[in-house]
Amino acid sequence: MGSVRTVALILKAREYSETSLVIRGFSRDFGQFTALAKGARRLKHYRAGALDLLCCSEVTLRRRPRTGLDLLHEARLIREFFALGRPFVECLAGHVVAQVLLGLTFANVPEPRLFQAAMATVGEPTEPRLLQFLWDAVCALGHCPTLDRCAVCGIPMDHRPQSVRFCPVAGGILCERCPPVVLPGHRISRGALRALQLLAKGPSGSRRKLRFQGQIRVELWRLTADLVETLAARPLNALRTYLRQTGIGTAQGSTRRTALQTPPESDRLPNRAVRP
Amino acid sequence: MAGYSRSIRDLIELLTQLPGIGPRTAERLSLYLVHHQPYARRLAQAIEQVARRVRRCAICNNFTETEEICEICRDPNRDRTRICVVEQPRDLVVIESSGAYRGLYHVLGGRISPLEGVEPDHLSLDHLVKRIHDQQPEEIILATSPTTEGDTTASYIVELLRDLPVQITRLARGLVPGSGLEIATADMLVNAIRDRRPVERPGR
Ligand SMILES: [Zn+2]
Ligand SMILES: [Zn+2]
Repeated sequence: MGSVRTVALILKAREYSETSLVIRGFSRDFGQFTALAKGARRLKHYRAGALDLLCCSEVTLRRRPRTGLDLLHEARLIREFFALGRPFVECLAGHVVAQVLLGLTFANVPEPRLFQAAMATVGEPTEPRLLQFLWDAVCALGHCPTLDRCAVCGIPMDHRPQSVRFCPVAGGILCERCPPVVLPGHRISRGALRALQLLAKGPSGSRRKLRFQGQIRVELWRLTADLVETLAARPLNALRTYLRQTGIGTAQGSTRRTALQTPPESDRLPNRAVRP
Repeated sequence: MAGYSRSIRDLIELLTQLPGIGPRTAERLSLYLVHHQPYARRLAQAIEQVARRVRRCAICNNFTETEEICEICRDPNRDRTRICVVEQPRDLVVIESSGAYRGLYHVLGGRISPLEGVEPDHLSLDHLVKRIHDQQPEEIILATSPTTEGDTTASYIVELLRDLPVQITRLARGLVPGSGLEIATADMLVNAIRDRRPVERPGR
Protein backbone atom coordinates (compact mmCIF):
# COMPACT_ATOMS: atom_id res chain seq x y z
CA MET A 1 0.00 0.00 0.00
CA GLY A 2 1.33 3.45 -0.89
CA SER A 3 1.77 6.48 1.30
CA VAL A 4 -1.14 8.69 2.24
CA ARG A 5 -1.07 12.20 3.53
CA THR A 6 -3.66 13.58 5.96
CA VAL A 7 -4.13 16.07 8.75
CA ALA A 8 -4.22 14.60 12.23
CA LEU A 9 -4.53 15.51 15.85
CA ILE A 10 -1.84 13.74 17.92
CA LEU A 11 -3.51 11.93 20.82
CA LYS A 12 -0.69 9.99 22.36
CA ALA A 13 3.03 9.42 21.90
CA ARG A 14 4.80 6.55 23.60
CA GLU A 15 8.55 6.01 23.56
CA TYR A 16 9.52 2.92 21.64
CA SER A 17 13.10 1.65 21.69
CA GLU A 18 15.94 4.14 22.14
CA THR A 19 14.99 6.36 19.24
CA SER A 20 11.43 5.79 18.07
CA LEU A 21 7.90 6.72 19.04
CA VAL A 22 4.58 4.99 18.66
CA ILE A 23 1.99 7.64 17.87
CA ARG A 24 -1.75 7.43 18.17
CA GLY A 25 -3.62 10.05 16.25
CA PHE A 26 -7.05 11.02 14.99
CA SER A 27 -7.01 11.83 11.31
CA ARG A 28 -9.41 13.82 9.20
CA ASP A 29 -9.56 11.14 6.52
CA PHE A 30 -9.51 7.76 8.24
CA GLY A 31 -10.25 8.18 11.92
CA GLN A 32 -7.91 6.82 14.53
CA PHE A 33 -4.51 5.37 13.62
CA THR A 34 -1.45 4.00 15.35
CA ALA A 35 1.88 4.58 13.67
CA LEU A 36 5.51 3.84 14.33
CA ALA A 37 7.72 6.89 13.89
CA LYS A 38 11.17 5.40 13.50
CA GLY A 39 13.95 7.63 14.74
CA ALA A 40 11.48 10.31 15.81
CA ARG A 41 13.39 10.95 19.01
CA ARG A 42 16.46 11.78 16.96
CA LEU A 43 14.29 14.38 15.23
CA LYS A 44 15.91 14.03 11.83
CA HIS A 45 12.82 13.63 9.70
CA TYR A 46 10.18 15.24 11.83
CA ARG A 47 9.83 18.93 12.28
CA ALA A 48 10.21 19.66 15.97
CA GLY A 49 7.04 19.30 17.98
CA ALA A 50 4.94 17.83 15.17
CA LEU A 51 4.41 14.64 17.15
CA ASP A 52 3.69 16.23 20.50
CA LEU A 53 0.39 15.61 22.25
CA LEU A 54 -2.54 17.70 20.93
CA CYS A 55 -0.58 19.17 18.05
CA CYS A 56 -2.27 19.32 14.71
CA SER A 57 0.11 18.02 12.06
CA GLU A 58 0.17 17.00 8.46
CA VAL A 59 1.35 13.41 8.49
CA THR A 60 2.45 11.05 5.75
CA LEU A 61 1.74 7.43 6.60
CA ARG A 62 2.39 4.12 4.98
CA ARG A 63 -0.75 2.26 5.90
CA ARG A 64 -0.35 -1.31 7.04
CA PRO A 65 -3.87 -2.58 7.67
CA ARG A 66 -2.72 -6.12 8.33
CA THR A 67 -0.50 -5.22 11.28
CA GLY A 68 -2.62 -2.30 12.49
CA LEU A 69 0.61 -0.34 12.90
CA ASP A 70 1.26 2.23 10.16
CA LEU A 71 4.66 3.69 9.43
CA LEU A 72 4.93 7.41 9.88
CA HIS A 73 7.25 8.88 7.24
CA GLU A 74 6.88 12.56 7.78
CA ALA A 75 5.13 15.01 10.08
CA ARG A 76 4.81 18.73 9.66
CA LEU A 77 3.47 20.86 12.47
CA ILE A 78 0.42 22.89 11.52
CA ARG A 79 -0.71 24.13 14.91
CA GLU A 80 0.72 23.69 18.39
CA PHE A 81 -1.54 23.30 21.43
CA PHE A 82 0.20 26.06 23.46
CA ALA A 83 -0.43 24.76 26.96
CA LEU A 84 1.72 27.39 28.63
CA GLY A 85 -0.07 30.66 29.11
CA ARG A 86 -3.45 28.95 29.21
CA PRO A 87 -5.42 28.45 32.40
CA PHE A 88 -4.66 24.97 33.73
CA VAL A 89 -8.26 23.76 33.28
CA GLU A 90 -8.07 24.64 29.59
CA CYS A 91 -4.92 22.54 29.29
CA LEU A 92 -6.85 19.71 30.93
CA ALA A 93 -9.73 20.20 28.50
CA GLY A 94 -7.32 19.49 25.65
CA HIS A 95 -6.28 16.25 27.34
CA VAL A 96 -9.95 15.32 27.77
CA VAL A 97 -10.51 15.72 24.01
CA ALA A 98 -7.58 13.37 23.36
CA GLN A 99 -8.78 10.77 25.81
CA VAL A 100 -12.36 10.81 24.53
CA LEU A 101 -11.18 10.39 20.94
CA LEU A 102 -8.90 7.53 22.01
CA GLY A 103 -11.73 5.87 23.90
CA LEU A 104 -14.65 6.32 21.52
CA THR A 105 -13.37 6.37 17.94
CA PHE A 106 -12.13 3.54 15.75
CA ALA A 107 -9.42 2.94 13.19
CA ASN A 108 -10.40 3.32 9.55
CA VAL A 109 -13.73 4.96 10.36
CA PRO A 110 -13.55 8.58 9.15
CA GLU A 111 -15.47 11.06 11.29
CA PRO A 112 -14.89 14.37 9.49
CA ARG A 113 -17.47 16.30 11.53
CA LEU A 114 -16.05 15.05 14.78
CA PHE A 115 -12.55 15.88 13.56
CA GLN A 116 -13.68 19.43 12.93
CA ALA A 117 -15.30 19.66 16.36
CA ALA A 118 -12.14 18.31 18.00
CA MET A 119 -9.94 20.82 16.20
CA ALA A 120 -12.23 23.67 17.21
CA THR A 121 -12.24 22.55 20.85
CA VAL A 122 -8.49 22.09 21.04
CA GLY A 123 -8.11 25.56 19.52
CA GLU A 124 -10.35 27.09 22.18
CA PRO A 125 -10.65 24.64 25.08
CA THR A 126 -13.15 26.54 27.19
CA GLU A 127 -15.67 24.76 29.40
CA PRO A 128 -18.74 25.41 27.18
CA ARG A 129 -16.86 24.20 24.12
CA LEU A 130 -15.63 21.06 25.82
CA LEU A 131 -19.14 20.17 27.01
CA GLN A 132 -20.49 20.69 23.51
CA PHE A 133 -17.62 18.63 22.08
CA LEU A 134 -18.50 15.71 24.34
CA TRP A 135 -22.09 15.80 23.07
CA ASP A 136 -20.92 16.20 19.49
CA ALA A 137 -18.77 13.11 19.98
CA VAL A 138 -21.57 11.10 21.59
CA CYS A 139 -24.05 12.02 18.85
CA ALA A 140 -21.66 11.84 15.87
CA LEU A 141 -20.72 8.30 16.90
CA GLY A 142 -24.38 7.25 16.97
CA HIS A 143 -24.92 7.18 20.73
CA CYS A 144 -27.23 10.17 21.08
CA PRO A 145 -29.51 9.34 24.02
CA THR A 146 -33.28 9.46 23.86
CA LEU A 147 -34.34 12.74 25.44
CA ASP A 148 -38.00 13.19 24.45
CA ARG A 149 -39.52 9.82 25.36
CA CYS A 150 -38.80 7.00 27.76
CA ALA A 151 -35.74 5.12 26.51
CA VAL A 152 -37.21 1.80 27.65
CA CYS A 153 -40.97 1.81 26.90
CA GLY A 154 -41.06 4.70 24.44
CA ILE A 155 -43.89 6.71 25.98
CA PRO A 156 -43.58 10.43 25.17
CA MET A 157 -42.28 12.57 28.05
CA ASP A 158 -43.65 15.91 26.92
CA HIS A 159 -45.65 16.59 30.10
CA ARG A 160 -42.64 18.52 31.50
CA PRO A 161 -42.07 16.79 34.83
CA GLN A 162 -40.11 18.66 37.55
CA SER A 163 -37.35 16.11 37.32
CA VAL A 164 -36.60 13.01 35.34
CA ARG A 165 -34.32 9.99 35.56
CA PHE A 166 -31.49 9.68 33.07
CA CYS A 167 -29.82 6.32 32.66
CA PRO A 168 -26.71 6.03 30.45
CA VAL A 169 -26.99 2.25 30.22
CA ALA A 170 -30.63 2.44 29.09
CA GLY A 171 -29.66 5.18 26.61
CA GLY A 172 -31.73 8.11 27.76
CA ILE A 173 -34.43 9.36 30.09
CA LEU A 174 -36.88 7.01 31.77
CA CYS A 175 -40.50 7.31 32.74
CA GLU A 176 -41.37 6.65 36.38
CA ARG A 177 -42.53 3.11 35.59
CA CYS A 178 -39.37 1.98 33.84
CA PRO A 179 -37.26 0.06 33.95
CA PRO A 180 -38.30 -3.12 35.65
CA VAL A 181 -34.86 -3.53 37.25
CA VAL A 182 -32.77 -1.08 39.24
CA LEU A 183 -30.21 0.64 37.02
CA PRO A 184 -27.74 3.32 38.11
CA GLY A 185 -28.67 6.75 36.86
CA HIS A 186 -29.15 10.41 37.60
CA ARG A 187 -32.17 12.38 38.59
CA ILE A 188 -31.99 15.62 36.64
CA SER A 189 -34.02 18.79 36.77
CA ARG A 190 -36.33 19.97 34.01
CA GLY A 191 -33.81 22.76 33.25
CA ALA A 192 -30.98 20.24 32.85
CA LEU A 193 -33.10 18.11 30.53
CA ARG A 194 -33.82 21.14 28.36
CA ALA A 195 -30.08 21.90 28.30
CA LEU A 196 -29.32 18.32 27.25
CA GLN A 197 -31.74 18.61 24.38
CA LEU A 198 -29.91 21.73 23.18
CA LEU A 199 -26.50 20.11 23.56
CA ALA A 200 -27.63 17.04 21.67
CA LYS A 201 -28.64 19.21 18.75
CA GLY A 202 -24.97 20.28 18.26
CA PRO A 203 -22.76 20.64 16.40
CA SER A 204 -20.15 22.88 17.95
CA GLY A 205 -18.98 23.81 14.46
CA SER A 206 -21.62 26.51 14.65
CA ARG A 207 -20.79 29.61 16.62
CA ARG A 208 -23.40 28.73 19.21
CA LYS A 209 -21.85 28.25 22.64
CA LEU A 210 -24.09 27.23 25.46
CA ARG A 211 -23.11 28.42 28.90
CA PHE A 212 -24.57 26.78 31.97
CA GLN A 213 -24.21 27.78 35.57
CA GLY A 214 -25.02 26.67 39.09
CA GLN A 215 -26.76 23.39 39.71
CA ILE A 216 -27.61 22.79 36.06
CA ARG A 217 -23.92 22.98 35.16
CA VAL A 218 -23.06 20.40 37.82
CA GLU A 219 -25.91 18.10 36.75
CA LEU A 220 -24.92 18.33 33.09
CA TRP A 221 -21.25 17.63 33.69
CA ARG A 222 -21.76 14.69 35.99
CA LEU A 223 -24.27 13.11 33.67
CA THR A 224 -22.16 13.77 30.58
CA ALA A 225 -19.05 12.32 32.23
CA ASP A 226 -21.02 9.24 33.24
CA LEU A 227 -22.44 8.85 29.73
CA VAL A 228 -19.03 9.19 28.05
CA GLU A 229 -17.39 6.75 30.49
CA THR A 230 -20.21 4.29 29.99
CA LEU A 231 -19.70 4.45 26.22
CA ALA A 232 -15.94 4.11 26.59
CA ALA A 233 -16.57 1.24 29.04
CA ARG A 234 -13.80 2.47 31.32
CA PRO A 235 -12.91 5.35 33.61
CA LEU A 236 -11.36 8.34 31.80
CA ASN A 237 -8.62 9.83 33.98
CA ALA A 238 -8.40 13.14 32.18
CA LEU A 239 -12.14 13.72 32.46
CA ARG A 240 -12.10 12.94 36.17
CA THR A 241 -9.15 15.26 36.78
CA TYR A 242 -11.01 17.94 34.82
CA LEU A 243 -14.12 17.61 36.99
CA ARG A 244 -12.06 17.77 40.17
CA GLN A 245 -10.11 20.81 39.05
CA THR A 246 -13.24 22.67 37.96
CA GLY A 247 -14.91 21.90 41.29
CA ILE A 248 -17.61 19.75 39.69
CA GLY A 249 -16.34 16.44 41.10
CA THR A 250 -17.48 15.30 44.49
CA ALA A 251 -15.70 16.21 47.71
CA GLN A 252 -14.23 12.70 47.76
CA GLY A 253 -12.40 13.70 44.65
CA SER A 254 -13.99 11.19 42.37
CA THR A 255 -16.73 11.44 39.83
CA ARG A 256 -17.14 7.72 40.03
CA ARG A 257 -19.41 8.06 43.01
CA THR A 258 -21.74 10.28 41.04
CA ALA A 259 -21.16 8.53 37.81
CA LEU A 260 -20.85 4.83 37.43
CA GLN A 261 -21.80 3.54 40.83
CA THR A 262 -25.27 2.78 42.04
CA PRO A 263 -26.88 5.96 43.39
CA PRO A 264 -27.78 6.24 47.08
CA GLU A 265 -30.93 4.48 48.24
CA SER A 266 -33.17 7.54 48.13
CA ASP A 267 -32.06 8.25 44.58
CA ARG A 268 -32.63 4.81 43.12
CA LEU A 269 -34.94 4.12 40.27
CA PRO A 270 -38.27 2.67 41.37
CA ASN A 271 -38.28 -1.07 41.27
CA ARG A 272 -41.44 -2.30 39.68
CA ALA A 273 -41.21 -5.67 41.35
CA VAL A 274 -41.71 -4.17 44.80
CA ARG A 275 -44.35 -1.65 43.84
CA PRO A 276 -47.86 -2.39 44.97
CA MET B 1 11.18 -20.11 30.21
CA ALA B 2 10.62 -23.67 31.35
CA GLY B 3 13.82 -25.69 31.24
CA TYR B 4 15.93 -23.13 33.13
CA SER B 5 16.64 -23.65 36.81
CA ARG B 6 14.62 -21.76 39.40
CA SER B 7 17.07 -18.88 40.06
CA ILE B 8 17.63 -18.23 36.35
CA ARG B 9 13.88 -18.13 35.82
CA ASP B 10 13.55 -15.66 38.71
CA LEU B 11 16.27 -13.45 37.25
CA ILE B 12 14.63 -13.43 33.81
CA GLU B 13 11.31 -12.57 35.38
CA LEU B 14 12.84 -9.68 37.38
CA LEU B 15 14.70 -8.27 34.38
CA THR B 16 11.52 -8.34 32.31
CA GLN B 17 10.07 -5.79 34.71
CA LEU B 18 12.71 -3.21 33.71
CA PRO B 19 11.58 -0.55 31.22
CA GLY B 20 12.33 -1.48 27.62
CA ILE B 21 13.35 -5.08 28.42
CA GLY B 22 11.31 -7.85 26.85
CA PRO B 23 11.51 -11.58 27.66
CA ARG B 24 14.09 -12.28 24.91
CA THR B 25 16.46 -9.55 26.10
CA ALA B 26 15.93 -10.59 29.71
CA GLU B 27 16.90 -14.14 28.80
CA ARG B 28 20.02 -12.97 26.97
CA LEU B 29 21.11 -10.75 29.88
CA SER B 30 20.49 -13.52 32.40
CA LEU B 31 22.62 -16.00 30.46
CA TYR B 32 25.37 -13.40 30.14
CA LEU B 33 25.36 -12.96 33.93
CA VAL B 34 25.48 -16.71 34.47
CA HIS B 35 28.54 -16.91 32.22
CA HIS B 36 30.30 -13.89 33.83
CA GLN B 37 30.12 -14.56 37.56
CA PRO B 38 32.67 -11.97 38.86
CA TYR B 39 30.82 -9.25 36.95
CA ALA B 40 27.48 -10.59 38.18
CA ARG B 41 28.67 -10.28 41.80
CA ARG B 42 29.88 -6.70 41.28
CA LEU B 43 26.58 -5.80 39.63
CA ALA B 44 24.61 -7.37 42.47
CA GLN B 45 26.65 -5.35 44.98
CA ALA B 46 26.09 -2.11 43.07
CA ILE B 47 22.35 -2.72 42.91
CA GLU B 48 22.29 -3.53 46.61
CA GLN B 49 24.16 -0.29 47.43
CA VAL B 50 21.81 1.82 45.32
CA ALA B 51 18.76 0.23 46.87
CA ARG B 52 20.11 0.65 50.39
CA ARG B 53 21.76 4.06 50.23
CA VAL B 54 20.07 6.22 47.62
CA ARG B 55 17.09 8.24 48.79
CA ARG B 56 15.41 11.55 48.07
CA CYS B 57 16.89 14.83 49.33
CA ALA B 58 14.64 16.22 52.05
CA ILE B 59 14.85 19.69 50.49
CA CYS B 60 14.86 19.35 46.70
CA ASN B 61 13.70 15.75 46.11
CA ASN B 62 16.85 14.97 44.08
CA PHE B 63 18.71 11.73 44.75
CA THR B 64 21.12 11.75 47.66
CA GLU B 65 23.12 9.22 49.60
CA THR B 66 24.90 9.14 52.96
CA GLU B 67 23.40 12.54 53.93
CA GLU B 68 19.75 13.48 54.19
CA ILE B 69 20.43 16.59 52.11
CA CYS B 70 21.96 16.36 48.63
CA GLU B 71 25.31 17.85 47.61
CA ILE B 72 23.74 20.71 45.69
CA CYS B 73 21.53 21.81 48.57
CA ARG B 74 24.52 21.61 50.94
CA ASP B 75 26.87 23.58 48.68
CA PRO B 76 27.36 27.08 50.22
CA ASN B 77 28.55 28.46 46.87
CA ARG B 78 25.24 27.93 45.09
CA ASP B 79 23.00 30.89 44.32
CA ARG B 80 20.17 30.49 46.83
CA THR B 81 17.94 33.14 45.28
CA ARG B 82 16.95 30.84 42.38
CA ILE B 83 15.19 27.49 42.25
CA CYS B 84 15.01 25.63 38.97
CA VAL B 85 12.03 23.25 38.79
CA VAL B 86 12.67 20.06 36.79
CA GLU B 87 10.64 16.92 36.20
CA GLN B 88 13.24 14.26 36.97
CA PRO B 89 16.72 13.97 38.45
CA ARG B 90 18.09 13.26 34.97
CA ASP B 91 16.88 16.72 33.83
CA LEU B 92 18.83 18.21 36.72
CA VAL B 93 21.90 16.28 35.58
CA VAL B 94 21.50 17.63 32.04
CA ILE B 95 21.25 21.23 33.25
CA GLU B 96 24.17 20.77 35.64
CA SER B 97 26.37 19.43 32.88
CA SER B 98 25.63 22.48 30.73
CA GLY B 99 27.38 24.56 33.42
CA ALA B 100 25.01 27.47 32.73
CA TYR B 101 23.20 27.44 36.07
CA ARG B 102 24.47 27.77 39.62
CA GLY B 103 21.25 28.01 41.58
CA LEU B 104 19.25 25.37 43.44
CA TYR B 105 16.78 22.82 42.06
CA HIS B 106 13.44 21.29 42.84
CA VAL B 107 12.65 17.86 41.39
CA LEU B 108 8.92 17.29 40.84
CA GLY B 109 9.19 13.53 40.34
CA GLY B 110 7.27 13.57 37.05
CA ARG B 111 4.92 15.76 35.09
CA ILE B 112 1.17 16.11 34.98
CA SER B 113 -0.16 13.57 32.52
CA PRO B 114 -3.96 13.41 32.71
CA LEU B 115 -4.16 10.56 30.20
CA GLU B 116 -1.84 8.43 32.32
CA GLY B 117 -3.60 9.41 35.53
CA VAL B 118 -0.67 11.52 36.83
CA GLU B 119 -2.26 14.40 38.69
CA PRO B 120 -0.83 17.43 40.48
CA ASP B 121 -1.12 15.57 43.80
CA HIS B 122 1.39 13.00 42.58
CA LEU B 123 4.18 15.58 42.25
CA SER B 124 6.19 17.20 45.05
CA LEU B 125 4.34 20.50 44.70
CA ASP B 126 3.23 21.07 48.29
CA HIS B 127 6.85 20.74 49.16
CA LEU B 128 7.80 23.37 46.58
CA VAL B 129 5.26 25.84 47.99
CA LYS B 130 6.56 25.27 51.51
CA ARG B 131 10.12 25.78 50.30
CA ILE B 132 9.22 29.08 48.69
CA HIS B 133 7.58 30.22 51.94
CA ASP B 134 10.59 29.14 54.01
CA GLN B 135 13.48 30.15 51.76
CA GLN B 136 11.91 33.11 49.98
CA PRO B 137 13.82 32.79 46.69
CA GLU B 138 13.63 35.61 44.15
CA GLU B 139 13.08 33.47 41.10
CA ILE B 140 11.49 30.14 40.19
CA ILE B 141 12.71 28.86 36.82
CA LEU B 142 10.32 26.39 35.23
CA ALA B 143 12.41 23.84 33.35
CA THR B 144 9.73 21.24 32.70
CA SER B 145 10.09 19.65 29.27
CA PRO B 146 9.00 21.72 26.27
CA THR B 147 6.11 19.35 25.55
CA THR B 148 2.35 19.67 25.97
CA GLU B 149 2.54 17.75 29.24
CA GLY B 150 5.55 19.76 30.45
CA ASP B 151 3.76 23.01 29.61
CA THR B 152 0.57 21.75 31.27
CA THR B 153 2.63 21.14 34.41
CA ALA B 154 4.17 24.60 34.12
CA SER B 155 0.70 26.15 33.77
CA TYR B 156 -0.40 24.40 36.92
CA ILE B 157 2.64 25.64 38.86
CA VAL B 158 2.10 29.20 37.64
CA GLU B 159 -1.46 29.12 39.04
CA LEU B 160 -0.32 27.41 42.23
CA LEU B 161 2.28 30.11 42.92
CA ARG B 162 0.06 32.95 41.74
CA ASP B 163 -0.05 34.78 45.06
CA LEU B 164 3.51 34.17 46.20
CA PRO B 165 6.03 37.02 45.98
CA VAL B 166 8.43 35.32 43.59
CA GLN B 167 9.24 35.86 39.94
CA ILE B 168 8.44 32.91 37.70
CA THR B 169 10.37 32.35 34.50
CA ARG B 170 10.32 29.66 31.85
CA LEU B 171 13.23 28.32 29.83
CA ALA B 172 13.30 29.89 26.36
CA ARG B 173 11.81 27.81 23.57
CA GLY B 174 15.20 27.41 21.93
CA LEU B 175 14.85 23.86 23.17
CA VAL B 176 13.32 21.49 20.68
CA PRO B 177 9.56 21.64 21.33
CA GLY B 178 7.93 18.28 21.81
CA SER B 179 10.98 16.54 23.24
CA GLY B 180 12.51 16.08 26.66
CA LEU B 181 15.36 18.10 28.09
CA GLU B 182 17.66 15.12 27.76
CA ILE B 183 18.02 15.50 24.01
CA ALA B 184 18.94 19.18 24.26
CA THR B 185 22.55 19.98 23.49
CA ALA B 186 24.61 21.94 26.01
CA ASP B 187 24.52 25.01 23.74
CA MET B 188 20.74 24.87 23.48
CA LEU B 189 20.42 24.67 27.24
CA VAL B 190 22.83 27.54 27.86
CA ASN B 191 20.75 29.70 25.50
CA ALA B 192 17.45 28.50 26.96
CA ILE B 193 18.56 29.39 30.48
CA ARG B 194 20.09 32.71 29.46
CA ASP B 195 17.01 33.75 27.44
CA ARG B 196 14.43 32.59 29.96
CA ARG B 197 11.34 34.75 30.06
CA PRO B 198 9.02 35.85 32.86
CA VAL B 199 5.74 33.95 32.75
CA GLU B 200 2.54 35.99 32.74
CA ARG B 201 0.30 35.06 35.59
CA PRO B 202 -3.45 34.95 35.15
CA GLY B 203 -5.49 37.26 37.32
CA ARG B 204 -2.56 38.95 38.99
ZN1 LIG C 1 -40.96 3.83 30.37
ZN1 LIG D 1 18.72 18.71 47.54
